[in-house]
Amino acid sequence: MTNFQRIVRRREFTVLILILILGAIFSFTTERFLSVSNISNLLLQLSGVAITAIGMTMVIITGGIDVSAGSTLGMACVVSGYLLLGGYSPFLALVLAVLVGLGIGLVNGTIIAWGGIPPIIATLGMMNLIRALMFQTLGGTWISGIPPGSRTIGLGKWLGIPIPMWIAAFLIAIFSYFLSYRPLGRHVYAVGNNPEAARVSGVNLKSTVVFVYALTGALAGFAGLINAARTGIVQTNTGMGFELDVIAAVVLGGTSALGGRGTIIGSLLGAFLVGIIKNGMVLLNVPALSEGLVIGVLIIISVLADIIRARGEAR
Amino acid sequence: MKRYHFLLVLALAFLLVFTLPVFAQDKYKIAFVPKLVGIPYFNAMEAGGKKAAEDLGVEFIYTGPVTADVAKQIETIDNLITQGVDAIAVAPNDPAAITPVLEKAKERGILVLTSDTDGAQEVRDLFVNQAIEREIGYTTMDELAKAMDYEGEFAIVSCGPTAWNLNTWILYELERLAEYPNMKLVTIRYAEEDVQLAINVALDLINAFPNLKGIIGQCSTSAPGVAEAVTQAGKIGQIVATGVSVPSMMAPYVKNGAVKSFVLWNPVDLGYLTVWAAKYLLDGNQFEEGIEYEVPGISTKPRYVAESKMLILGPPMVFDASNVDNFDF
Repeated sequence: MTNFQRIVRRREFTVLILILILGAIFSFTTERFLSVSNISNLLLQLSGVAITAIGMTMVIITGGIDVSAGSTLGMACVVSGYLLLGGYSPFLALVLAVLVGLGIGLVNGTIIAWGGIPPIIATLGMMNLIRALMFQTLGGTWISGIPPGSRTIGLGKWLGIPIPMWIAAFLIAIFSYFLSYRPLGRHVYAVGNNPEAARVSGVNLKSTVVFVYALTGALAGFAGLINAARTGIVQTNTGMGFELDVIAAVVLGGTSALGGRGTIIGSLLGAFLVGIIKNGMVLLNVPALSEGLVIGVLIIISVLADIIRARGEAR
Repeated sequence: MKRYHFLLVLALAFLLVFTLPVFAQDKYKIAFVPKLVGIPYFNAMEAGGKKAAEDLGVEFIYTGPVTADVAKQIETIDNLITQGVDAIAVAPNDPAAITPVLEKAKERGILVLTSDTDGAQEVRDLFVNQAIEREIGYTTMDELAKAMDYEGEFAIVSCGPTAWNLNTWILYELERLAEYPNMKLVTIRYAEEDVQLAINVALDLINAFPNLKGIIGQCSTSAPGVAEAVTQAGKIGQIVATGVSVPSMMAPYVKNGAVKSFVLWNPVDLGYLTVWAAKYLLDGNQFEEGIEYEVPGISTKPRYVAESKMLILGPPMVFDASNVDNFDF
């Protein structure tokens, strides 16, 4: 197979083509799609998903899943929301939001790696636990009225592009390199492909697993700070369902739900695809309720395509 | 014979266990199940309910799902039936889906009310209504029209697509729209009961419809959400936000100019009235049409509509810069 064929056959390429086709359709049918404010909106809305998807991609490559990411984002929102509201420096809010996420992720990773609890069960428990803690902390009230001066990290722009998207791009570049070229990055694939072989060849399975969950937690915490700064309001169900957006982006972007295969760039493209569909449906004024239908069908088709391809390769 | 004795003792023991709580309680247990817990609007209703419970000497239970989830709400009601409460008031997330479980409650002799949102009309004993739907819809449209100078395009950001009260208000808003021939509704979108989602949806709308002059946020989470979106998009002065929400969330936007006025009633009073009405019926009283009821502890005089078994708190309230700071809910 030539290099060109190899690229064309990749899922990332298919998703990219889909995005370009949809982008072309939307820019011909609506005059507003390619406007600066619309594109910057689109980027802003998907930056949180894109950042968290970096970690989630690795988790799913190891054959796991983390459904506590939405609660983690919510808890980080609460912590950073209070700090921003209290006039503390946004940097302190950032550090604490990431630490909160990191802590949650470390606990997730530890109970999965050492406790032997299936990832979906462990993180499901964590999801409920953190959500309950959020209720306790907020006591049914909301955080609102965060001063605009503290919200630059969520609302600001640099060279016309929203700051959260710069952050996402930076993190994606670093971790893509890490995943492809650093030993620990390769271990992530090894754990997902064939844990037994990985163990025999000297990969520390447990610490690799702890690492991917801790990273996902820390990134969800980071996304939480951005979310609090961007919207200025933290409610008790902030981040509910967010984990599903992240998982959808990762799966659409070609990471195999069975583990062992996937890229961070693919997840970014997956996030783009979902974002562009949601955005386009508003622009085209398609009835709101068909949004879930389109995205749901897309997810099922993409996983089906995975399975069919896997069969083809096995033959 | 021995076996028979054993069974008898067992039966007696069961009887004792199940009847004891009945003897033990002398206070009515009145439960309120909101659409979801943890939002300021229902917190305010809870506060009113608590106050009524203290004033009237009943036990008040406030419990509900953490998201506006139909299935979880049904589960909550099921648990309350098992607990053996005397009355259940509910703000249904889905009026049709809630009917069977409320029927079950009624079969067990529990008084069934709806409050804030109606549902299961053929089952419930009373609907405690904040204000007539028509008046809320009309007032919202009037406030929007005034703020938009009676012309231009507007959009509605609603919340749960199955919420009966929101859909009815929208219906009346559209009916009232006939009075304003120069105004045009461009779209209705749904953002669940989620502020962040409402911000995103409204930002998309502002982009999609460059001539937009107004947005209605139909529920207590979407109204501050659309106001925040107008603020973020830098459209204060061009696009005006309004809707149905609580003063504590709307105050910042009334001050920055994104919102000129918005509509609500007093949710603390609504919570109070719900518990008061449940106690009134449990005591064996009946409501009658044409009477203005004196309810100590609330500021309005509720009236009863026999045809729809509905107790109405009063007319809707309009909030603006002059009074938005006077309320703590």
